[in-house]
Amino acid sequence: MRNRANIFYSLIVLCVSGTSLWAQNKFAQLDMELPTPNSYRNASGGPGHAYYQQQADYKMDIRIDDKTQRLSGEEVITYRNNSPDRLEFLWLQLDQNLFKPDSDSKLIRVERMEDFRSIKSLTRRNFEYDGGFKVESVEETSGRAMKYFINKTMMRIDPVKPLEPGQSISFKIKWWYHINDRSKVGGRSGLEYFEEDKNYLYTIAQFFPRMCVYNDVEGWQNKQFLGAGEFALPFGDYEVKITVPEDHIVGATGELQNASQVLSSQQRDRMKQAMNSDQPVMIVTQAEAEENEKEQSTGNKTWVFKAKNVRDFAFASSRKFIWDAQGVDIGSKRVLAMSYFPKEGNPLWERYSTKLVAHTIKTYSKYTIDYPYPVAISVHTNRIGMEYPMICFNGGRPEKDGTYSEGTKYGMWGVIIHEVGHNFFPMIINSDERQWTWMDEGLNTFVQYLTEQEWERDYPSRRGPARYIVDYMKGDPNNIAPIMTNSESLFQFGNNAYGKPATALNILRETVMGRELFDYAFKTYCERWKFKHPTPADFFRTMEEASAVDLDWFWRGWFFTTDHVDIALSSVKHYQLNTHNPEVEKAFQKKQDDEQVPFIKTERNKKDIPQTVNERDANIDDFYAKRDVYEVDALDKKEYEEFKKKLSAEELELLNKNQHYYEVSFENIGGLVMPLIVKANFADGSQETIRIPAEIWRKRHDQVSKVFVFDQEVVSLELDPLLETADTDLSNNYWPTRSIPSRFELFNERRNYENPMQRQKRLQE
Amino acid sequence: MSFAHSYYFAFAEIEYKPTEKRIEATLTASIHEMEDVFKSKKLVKKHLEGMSHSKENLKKIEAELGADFYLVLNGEKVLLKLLDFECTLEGKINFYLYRDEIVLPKEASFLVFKTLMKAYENQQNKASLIIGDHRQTIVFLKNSEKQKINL
Repeated sequence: MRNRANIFYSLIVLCVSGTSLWAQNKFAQLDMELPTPNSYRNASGGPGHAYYQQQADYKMDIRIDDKTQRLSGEEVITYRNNSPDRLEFLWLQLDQNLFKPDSDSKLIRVERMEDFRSIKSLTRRNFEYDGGFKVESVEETSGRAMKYFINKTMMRIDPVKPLEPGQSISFKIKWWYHINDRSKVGGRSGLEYFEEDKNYLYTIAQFFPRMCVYNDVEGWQNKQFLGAGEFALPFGDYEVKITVPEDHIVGATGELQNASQVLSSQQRDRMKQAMNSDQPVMIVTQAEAEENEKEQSTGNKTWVFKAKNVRDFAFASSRKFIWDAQGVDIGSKRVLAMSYFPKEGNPLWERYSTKLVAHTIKTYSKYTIDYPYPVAISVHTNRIGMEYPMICFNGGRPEKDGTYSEGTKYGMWGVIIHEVGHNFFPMIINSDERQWTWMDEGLNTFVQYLTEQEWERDYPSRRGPARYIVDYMKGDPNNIAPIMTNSESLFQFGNNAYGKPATALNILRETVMGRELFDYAFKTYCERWKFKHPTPADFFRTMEEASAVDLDWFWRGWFFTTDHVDIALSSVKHYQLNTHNPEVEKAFQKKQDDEQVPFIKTERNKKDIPQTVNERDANIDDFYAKRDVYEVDALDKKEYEEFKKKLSAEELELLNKNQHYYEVSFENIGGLVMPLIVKANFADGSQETIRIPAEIWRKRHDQVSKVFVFDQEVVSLELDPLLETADTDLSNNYWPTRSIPSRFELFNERRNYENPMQRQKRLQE
Repeated sequence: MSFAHSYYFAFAEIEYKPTEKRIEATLTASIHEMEDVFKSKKLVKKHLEGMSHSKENLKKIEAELGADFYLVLNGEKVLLKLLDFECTLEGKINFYLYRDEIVLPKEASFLVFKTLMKAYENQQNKASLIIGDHRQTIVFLKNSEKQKINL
């Protein structure tokens, strides 16, 4: 639509009281939603002057019985109460009780009979397995029994006297359990059995009674383990002795203390080489591992590990392990990146795993904090990906013939980067996973995306780019949950806790804040909360305080609601200034009138009425009928000269520029307010992109307009041209309207029946 | 943690072209999850990415998809035909489906979309329906696997 208008327009202020109130909510500060700052957590989002956290140190003797697949242990926990509170009792996590036959995780599963239509599904449904803890004793270090009570996946211990602020208590727990076969009962850890060589590969984690977090936010952590919300634990120092069959290789959280007793001199030499090498060095080769697989020795060996300032401990053990390592510089430290994998992981694992570990800790160190631990380990196990301090268990297994698909390769790369990345979130920046999955999975998936993009240009990251979250966010919001939802109550765990927060952070970095401001604020959050327990409010506040960008509207929309982005470019009006130059204006008017579509009667009357009265009678037409309204006369020219004399030099220059004004209206259909990114395409092929902050919606949330001034006439406008806002409906983002081809149509256009290898063959012919 | 299930919506984009009386649909799911289901039904031995696009295989997949994803028009079940499928490096699989000579009745058009729901407890599906400028997005849950098309 083209309009012609005068220089000065009256401004109509669209201000309806109800609408304004509603709009205010989108930009209202989060004061009501966030906890009040206090001496433990301050208003900046940092630890307050009275911040405290507890300390739990462990000394453990662990034993794997390879014949019975039983894990047993004795642990001495020394718990220090750094809080200002007197503790009448202590709570511990018994995560392994998830595998008890009567565990809540099974009882709360919603079932319908139609889910069990096959014998196989019923067999799986009725499979009974007791993998829960068998706690044999809880004693003081003197040997005196302590009173304890097991409440499902948690255990309360009652000390004889309450633990006063500043006091420590030591006690001993003896336990055992059957190690779960992951292929039968699942689980984040457990065993994998290899039928062909009759060997086991153990990935052992969440395997010992572990102290719960006690803090200023919720006192004792008191949420049962139901399977989705993982865990948070206090930091502490670990000394762990692990007794396994003597032909096993063990990788664990921490540094090996007795290499001379468990490794050959050749293996120790190779370790030294690896530390000084920037490429992986084999500590145990595939040939050696295959030889080892055959032994099945009956003797035992004890491996000793120490880890300082970690929030948990995990390990892996198998006689099948191939083992490689390389050094990587992080700040002023040299860290050992390592991988343990059976031959079934090759050729992928030998080629990539350790290099991925090294790349991940280096890249994460750039965006977050310097990796503080001496080792970082990736262990191969089928399918799962799970993280613990310094060690993680990762899938990505080639076919038995040694080939692998591209998807398997990218899957393996992605899972290793992701799980090694978890060292930072939440192993070091120790958020409470049982409450807020997004705080570790979301932040980690975001940095995973950055790390993948530094591994390979245009890496096909599964999560991070805005356009990948669109299908999840669009449509009926009733069956999705806000990101700020407890871990156990989420719908669509992956999209909600991984994909959406990672996308949101990516949008903040690329579109809302810019890379410099975002990266500085994000790093500030990581530095402030390393080796501490942050909450969502600490993250939100730090990101704002360190960037001087009010992001409350963004947190509110993306984290507290299920609104989606659908902003439409609803109308465009074109204006040019009235030059008052009669030569220009009258010619323009004539052109406009000539271009008018004639009425239908005009054409028909030409034929049906051969001559009108005034065409026959020359006396009918008077002055009005005879004048040429498009003629420029002396008076017109004089008035124009007088008009120009009244203008200042600047006004005259503006008048002579002949600029084009476009009043563009935007409609917010989805509810989420977002920046407006408008690209104008001009007739000469040039382009201009204008970025308008989201605050344009602050007074009215549903509709806004903006006037754009260009030197040239615009041929088309695009909203969000680089698909950076997660707009769920692109069909209303263009002027003139553009048809968006469906996915089916796009596929049909590029459909090619040749597979890449057939094409290559044809090329060579 | 990663690689766990119930991570994705299965998503369908369905366009009805009244002048051609044709339905074109793209069903998108996680390769990982779809592969597990296909393996359990012995439709694929290894990876979907490596599966041949032979007519025989397409027929088998078409039948499998059709059990959980179909239209009900005037009370009659209407299955879609599988043109082809495609795996993306981002871990998703797209199935391209169509059906000709279809007239969508205004009052009695339903879509059933329960793909992966038997295999995964928390599976939710979502469909975007397009007819010209009209769009409708519907969520499918375990207890609401059949939904009315209101376009």
